[in-house]
Amino acid sequence: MYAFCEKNVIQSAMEREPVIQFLNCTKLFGGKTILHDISFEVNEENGFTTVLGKSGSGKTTLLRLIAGLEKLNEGSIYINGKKVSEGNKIIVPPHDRNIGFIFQDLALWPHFTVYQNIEFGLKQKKIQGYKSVVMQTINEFGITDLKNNFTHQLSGGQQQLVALARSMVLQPKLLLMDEPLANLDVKLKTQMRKLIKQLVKEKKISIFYVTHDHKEAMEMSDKMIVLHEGVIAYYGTPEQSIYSDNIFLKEFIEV
Amino acid sequence: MGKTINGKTLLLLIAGLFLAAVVLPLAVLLVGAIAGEGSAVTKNITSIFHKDLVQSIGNSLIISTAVSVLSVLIGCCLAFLFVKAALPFSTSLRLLLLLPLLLPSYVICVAWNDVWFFAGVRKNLIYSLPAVVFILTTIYTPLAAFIIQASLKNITAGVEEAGMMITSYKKVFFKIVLPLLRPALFSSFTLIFILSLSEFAVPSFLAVPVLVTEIFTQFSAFYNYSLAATQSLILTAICLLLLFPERKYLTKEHFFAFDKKAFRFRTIELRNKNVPLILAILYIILTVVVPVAFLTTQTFSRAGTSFLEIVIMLLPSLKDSLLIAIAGALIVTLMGLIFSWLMVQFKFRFLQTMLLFVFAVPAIVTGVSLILFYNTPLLNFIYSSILIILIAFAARFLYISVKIISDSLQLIPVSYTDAACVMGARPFYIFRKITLPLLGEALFTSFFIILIFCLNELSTVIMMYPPGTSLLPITIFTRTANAPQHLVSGMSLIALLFTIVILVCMLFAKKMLFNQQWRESR
Repeated sequence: MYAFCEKNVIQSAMEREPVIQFLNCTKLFGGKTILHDISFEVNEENGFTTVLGKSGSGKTTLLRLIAGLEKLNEGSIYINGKKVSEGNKIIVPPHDRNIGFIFQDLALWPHFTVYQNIEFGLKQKKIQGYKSVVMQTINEFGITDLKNNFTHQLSGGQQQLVALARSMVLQPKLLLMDEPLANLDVKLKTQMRKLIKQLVKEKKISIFYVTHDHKEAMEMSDKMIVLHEGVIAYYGTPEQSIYSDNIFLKEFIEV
Repeated sequence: MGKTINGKTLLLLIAGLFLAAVVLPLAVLLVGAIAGEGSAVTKNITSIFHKDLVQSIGNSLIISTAVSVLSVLIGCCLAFLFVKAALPFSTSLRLLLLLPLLLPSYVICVAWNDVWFFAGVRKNLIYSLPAVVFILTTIYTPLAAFIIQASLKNITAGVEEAGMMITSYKKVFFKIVLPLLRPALFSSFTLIFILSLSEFAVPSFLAVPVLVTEIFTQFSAFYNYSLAATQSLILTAICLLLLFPERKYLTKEHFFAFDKKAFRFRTIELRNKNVPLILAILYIILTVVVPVAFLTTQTFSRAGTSFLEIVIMLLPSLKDSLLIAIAGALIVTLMGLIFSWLMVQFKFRFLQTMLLFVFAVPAIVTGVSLILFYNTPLLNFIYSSILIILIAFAARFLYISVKIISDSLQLIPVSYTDAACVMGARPFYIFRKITLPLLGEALFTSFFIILIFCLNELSTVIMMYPPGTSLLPITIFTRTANAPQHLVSGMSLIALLFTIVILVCMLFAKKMLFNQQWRESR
């Protein structure tokens, strides 16, 4: 089992500002422990961190905790050195965390067009000249022709692009992705993976990516977090994982 | 993320006040009838066993049981033919079938009276218990068909196909489809039982003594409030006893969820579609076309007051009824939205149980309780204004509105509001921009259905309409005793046309309002 010594974590937090830091975090749902006393930190700026694990291992909950969509039961979470959640308190609300979130079902609003979906965040923040930023993002993602379409009129790949554009238009420092490619065919998956990697480089953002596909994790990530029954079973680089003697990790990779 | 809405307390306060306005009068009436030595029950203990009251209770139970069984049986057959067998013209036939449910029951009663008089049916057969059962069955069968249709549509093809790999469709139907329909069958049975037990207009018009008419007589004619309260207690107890085991199904069944549909739906091919099609058409001709045709004939066939004169006579009632119904539908829908929000977002499930209790209390009992509670010096401003009617409408129909809106609210994925929240939108902005547009159709449907129900409601308002207001159901009902037959038929025909015009306007408005391209995918 991988776990940080709390003292070391605090010390390292003082030296620099990790992108994400979890300190002794526990999350319960209806009395059932989903995440149990987990601590880790992601230091790589513009890095790609993958969260791997079986169904029900707490992957999505971890992402929702980072976003501020769920409250902790115990522990605290830091983003870029700033405490955002502590115990059952949300210190920084989701909309002030400068985070993008791509949901598993993409959550594209069906009553809005592609353009309206993308402009939503900027419009309600009343940012001046937001229209040109929206159009620039639409052009960058190559979906100009689709801007007046409703989301049901798009293919799976086009919907992914819109979801990405909607998140990226707000220029987040951190992008959370919850199994976003799960419903795509192999060819589209490969194309989307390339696009996401390109985004990390060009936009200089950190990505937190949930998947249960270990091959995808090996191919995409700089760091991997493997969750098993609410605790961190492995945290390290994909390369190190090959040589790890962690029994659960080996079983997971073999499966 | 609605959990952080600051207005939670405000919403709870509104809901609490509203519930108090409706639930307190009922609680005062029912508890007052039982508690203490000088209680109504103690005073009237001998009257409970009086043979007239026993006969009324017996009639009520026979009518309610027969109507519920027949409506569910016929409704089940029609639902199967329209949905699973996909009969030709099924959309038009389904719309026509709904008509008796949307028309005032006294209009249908007057229409059938005309038919039977024309056919020379003996008076003792017309003014009889089977006649009440017949008319109420034609009124409530569409409700059963409607609920069962919605449930049938929710059965995914795979469930049936898995069974068809092993045995014939006939067996699949009886072993798989029918058990899956059980909640819908039970909930339609219970709903129809409660509604027919509460029905005032039809038994009263056909002079069949039932518990509801007995309460009305004691309350309005003999001013024996104590006996009326005791009888109300008996009626409420019957409804609540029935509701107790059915609560599970009634609270869970999505009987008004229009948008809910199985991902893949399977229709079956009948070997011969003509026979069931003819039977369905004959049923609709008998229950819809014949009474309406006779109502029209009766109106125009006799000399006397002309149709135009009847229209002019009814104009004030039409205006008052429409305005009060619109106000009622707006308030009930708004409260429906608040209650649904509290139930879905904050998991206040007890609110639904409370509303179900109020809904299950017969209309006449609600009426009695509201009058006794608000007819006091302190609350007279409510009793003497249309406020009391609006409270009565809320008591009767809020449960239906909450079912429609909360079912739709639950269908909106949490990720939609979460996505907006992460992007910086505040709760009210999310509600206005995301939730409200997605709920638009459900809100409209709630308004539409409650408007029609408010227009036709007679059982509660007949006892409490304030001076100066002239409501259509009351105007027609009070004339039935002494006006010529053609005048009553004419007024009923106008009420029918009025309802149809509103129905058409609302359907047209719905098409205009909800014609957005994004809905095509649904």
